[in-house]
Amino acid sequence: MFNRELKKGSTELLILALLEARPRHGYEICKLIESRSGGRLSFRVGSLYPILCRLEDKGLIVGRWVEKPGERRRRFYRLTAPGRATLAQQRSVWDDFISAVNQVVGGEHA
Amino acid sequence: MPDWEQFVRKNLRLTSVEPERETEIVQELAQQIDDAYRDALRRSLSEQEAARFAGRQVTDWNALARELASSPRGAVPPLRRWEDRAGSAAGKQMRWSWIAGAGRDVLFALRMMRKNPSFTMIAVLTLALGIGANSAIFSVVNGVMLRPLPYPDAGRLVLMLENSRNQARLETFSVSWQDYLDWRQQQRSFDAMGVFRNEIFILTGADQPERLSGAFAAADVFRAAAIRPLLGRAFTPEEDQPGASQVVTLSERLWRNRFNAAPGIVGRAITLDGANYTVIGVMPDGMRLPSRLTDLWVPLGLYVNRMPSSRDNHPGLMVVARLKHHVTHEQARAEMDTIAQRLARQFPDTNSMTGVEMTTLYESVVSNIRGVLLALLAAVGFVLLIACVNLANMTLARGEARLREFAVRSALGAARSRLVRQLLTESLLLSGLGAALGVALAWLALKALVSSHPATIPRLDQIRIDLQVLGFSCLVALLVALVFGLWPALRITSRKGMVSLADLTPTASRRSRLRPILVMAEVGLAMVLLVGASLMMRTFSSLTRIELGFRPEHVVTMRLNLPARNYSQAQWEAFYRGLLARVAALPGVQAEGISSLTPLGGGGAESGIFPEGTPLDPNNPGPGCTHGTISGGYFTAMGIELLKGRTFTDRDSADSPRVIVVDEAAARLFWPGQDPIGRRVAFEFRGQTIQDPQPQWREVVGVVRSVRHYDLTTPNSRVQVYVPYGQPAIWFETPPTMSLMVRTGMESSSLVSSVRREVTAIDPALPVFAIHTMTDYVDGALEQPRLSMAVMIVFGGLALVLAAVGIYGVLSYSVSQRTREIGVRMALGASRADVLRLILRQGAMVSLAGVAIGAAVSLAAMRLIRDLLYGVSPTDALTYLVVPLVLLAVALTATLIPARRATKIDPLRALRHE
Repeated sequence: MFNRELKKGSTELLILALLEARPRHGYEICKLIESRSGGRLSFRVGSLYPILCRLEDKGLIVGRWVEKPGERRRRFYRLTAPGRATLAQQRSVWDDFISAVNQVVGGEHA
Repeated sequence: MPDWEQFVRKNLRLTSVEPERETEIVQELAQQIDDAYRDALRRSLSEQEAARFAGRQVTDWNALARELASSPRGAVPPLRRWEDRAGSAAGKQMRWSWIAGAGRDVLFALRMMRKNPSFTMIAVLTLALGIGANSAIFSVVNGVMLRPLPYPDAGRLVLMLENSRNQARLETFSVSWQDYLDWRQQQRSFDAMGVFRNEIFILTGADQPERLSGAFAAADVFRAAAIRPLLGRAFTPEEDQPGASQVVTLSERLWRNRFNAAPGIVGRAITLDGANYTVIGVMPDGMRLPSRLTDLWVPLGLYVNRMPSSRDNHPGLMVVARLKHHVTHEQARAEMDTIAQRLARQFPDTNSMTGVEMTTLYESVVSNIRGVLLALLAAVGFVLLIACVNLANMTLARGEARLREFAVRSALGAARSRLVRQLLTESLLLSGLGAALGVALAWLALKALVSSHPATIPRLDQIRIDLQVLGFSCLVALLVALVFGLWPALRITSRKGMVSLADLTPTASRRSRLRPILVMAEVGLAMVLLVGASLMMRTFSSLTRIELGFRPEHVVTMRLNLPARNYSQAQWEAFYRGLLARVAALPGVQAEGISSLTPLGGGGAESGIFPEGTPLDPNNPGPGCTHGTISGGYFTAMGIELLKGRTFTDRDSADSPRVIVVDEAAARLFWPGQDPIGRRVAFEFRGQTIQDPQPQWREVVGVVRSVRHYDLTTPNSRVQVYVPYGQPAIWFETPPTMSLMVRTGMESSSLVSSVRREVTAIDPALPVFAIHTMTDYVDGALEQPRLSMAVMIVFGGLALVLAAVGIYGVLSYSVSQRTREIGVRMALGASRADVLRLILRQGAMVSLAGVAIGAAVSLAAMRLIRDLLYGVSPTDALTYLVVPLVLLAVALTATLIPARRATKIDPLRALRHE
């Protein structure tokens, strides 16, 4: 629905935001992105996973194998302190960006 | 459910990622794809659709791999990546590959071996000797002891004899005919129970008359052996009965050698002892009852009527039987004991003391040689251990010299496991080469052994290098590589062993406390082997100095067997009287005689003997005697000393009083302190029962020296008596095979041909066989001890050399490491003599400690070979005095060379290294 470039630039933000509330595993992140965007955004495992790796490399999130009772072993990712800071910063940058874009695009109504 | 891990592994081609990281990635991707799959199932998609949905979670595997590879986490260091790619034959496509890595290790190891040829040569040679000696001894053990006998399910075959249950003196003898019949009828433990007896046959008709060793055998002998004939058939139960037709079964060997493997042999007639026999079958080489030398078998039925009627007579019968499948040896033994006890109650006169002696066929074949083989196996294991210690030492020393190389590689990112693998590859390669050369050496040694035809090693033809032996050698090589490779490798690459590059100055001196301990162990092991060799040598020397009772030098013997059907007793006597006269007339003959027994060569017969005046009590049958039928000249020809009285003359004939000559042991036993001449003894009985024995008394006319008759080391358990051939002992069925003994100053071959001419002049159909000098028989009796001694000397010598090399290696290494220290000492005023003493003391300490350890181990170990020793105690003082001296002398020599080098150190130059 949205083009690739747009999606790619925002994915890191999406992931960090989804991990803000609590740790989640990979496929759960895919599903949440899809359901919360009302199906307009969707990711496959193959494209999300390298981004998770990259975020982990940067130290923004950290993954851990967890075995919950009654469930299979999964790798859960949680936000680190630098991740939380980055999320806050990106969120404000994003907000600024959106409002700036809106100002330009919807100029007549402002 | 699909295996997503495998799915990921198949599609994702990761390069330059550490294996651990790769596993992690694969697992997580699989987990996520699996989540997608389950999710799809929950949304009530079909399994197939769900799988397709999950499979589409990754669309571009190559892009994914690229992205993952750009992550710094788990990436292979650049240098290693280059190494891997360089070593990988398949280049980029190949992932981390063990095989390629191993190939690279081998190449590197080969380069190291080429760079250091003297190390390589010494190592490979040491290993070749160690592994070769082990392979050779193992192939003998394998052929003689481990390989099953050539019969199907051979473990179920047993041999049976009878024994005297008199506990005081356990004697084994052949089975009585009546006892065999009762056993066979009463037993329930065996599928088949057959009886056989050795027989000698003379084959005539073609070229030279030929003496063949044969056997008469019951049909059950072949049933028990479970061997199918190669051609024709074996015997039937009908042929066990009287009136069987004159048939014969040939051995494969006889059929091939004598009848050129004629396919039409079955049905042909051959002439044995002058009678016609029809060949009904050919038995394959595997049929070795009574022995592997048996040429032919004739049916039992031809002999049944001639069996002795007395149960007390034991006419050389042996019983072979095959256990039923569900019956154990113990059960069978118990049953046979019960039967024997029943017979003892039933026939108290003859059987009250008779038991059954049951052994497995295997046991009867190997029991004589087992002790020797196990001792040699242990000895050769020690040699290998010494070789290993030496190599471990060399590897350690070289490893220390290569510390710089390891430090550099470690600094460049090589893991410890890689360095260990490299070192292990080098030792595996060395031991592999050593094993290959060793097997070649073993092959040569075995060829020499087998071609020397030692008669004392059973199943000689089974000894060869086969897959089992090769497998053994490979296993030994592998173990050796682990022992001398892995352990030093772990040591060298350990955190303690590794040094940083900065520490590696050329003068850095690192003293290892371990290596002297290794040398100590080596000296100890060498000591054990040398003690063994020395005891064997002392044994052999005792054996050669045994009082034989006869003088074997310059005596030629040959055997003659007159067929009973052609010779009556009178004709038999006449033949020998004529022959002795003709031989006496030959030039060069100093003395001549005939005898039914040959000392150390067999023959003779045994029975109980009673001096007049003692009761003939079957429960106390008195001493046994070995009796021989001889001519008067026998004693002179053999050099047996006549101590008292006279020998036999031509006047001792059937018409004159019956006479006997006894040996000194009999005289001492029966008439201690009295004159035996004129006394009477009996060993022949015409009666059938003990109530009416009808002893045949003979008067003692002479006393001679006792002779070692059966073997060198067993003191005679029976006394020896001799009767004149004019009054021969009562014989069973056929007259005894006689040996002609000629003492001569001549060369034996020309004498033999002139004797043969004289025999042919009397009876052209008579073969002369078993032509030997008496020295041959003595040598034969010495063969096994000589062989064990020779092998032990070789092993001992090998151990000595290896130990010397070990001491030399450790001390020269130590001297080179202590160059600076010695330089300082000399600069501070130490004389050359002081330095020499310093190094010598170090060598002496190690050697003395080794000798002490070795002495302790030897004292324990030599107890185990007590049975192989003769005339020397396992704690022989001379051995324990001389061996350490020899060992110390060799050790000192090995020490002297590095010690002299130490004294030549120039203090100035040594210090300038600083």
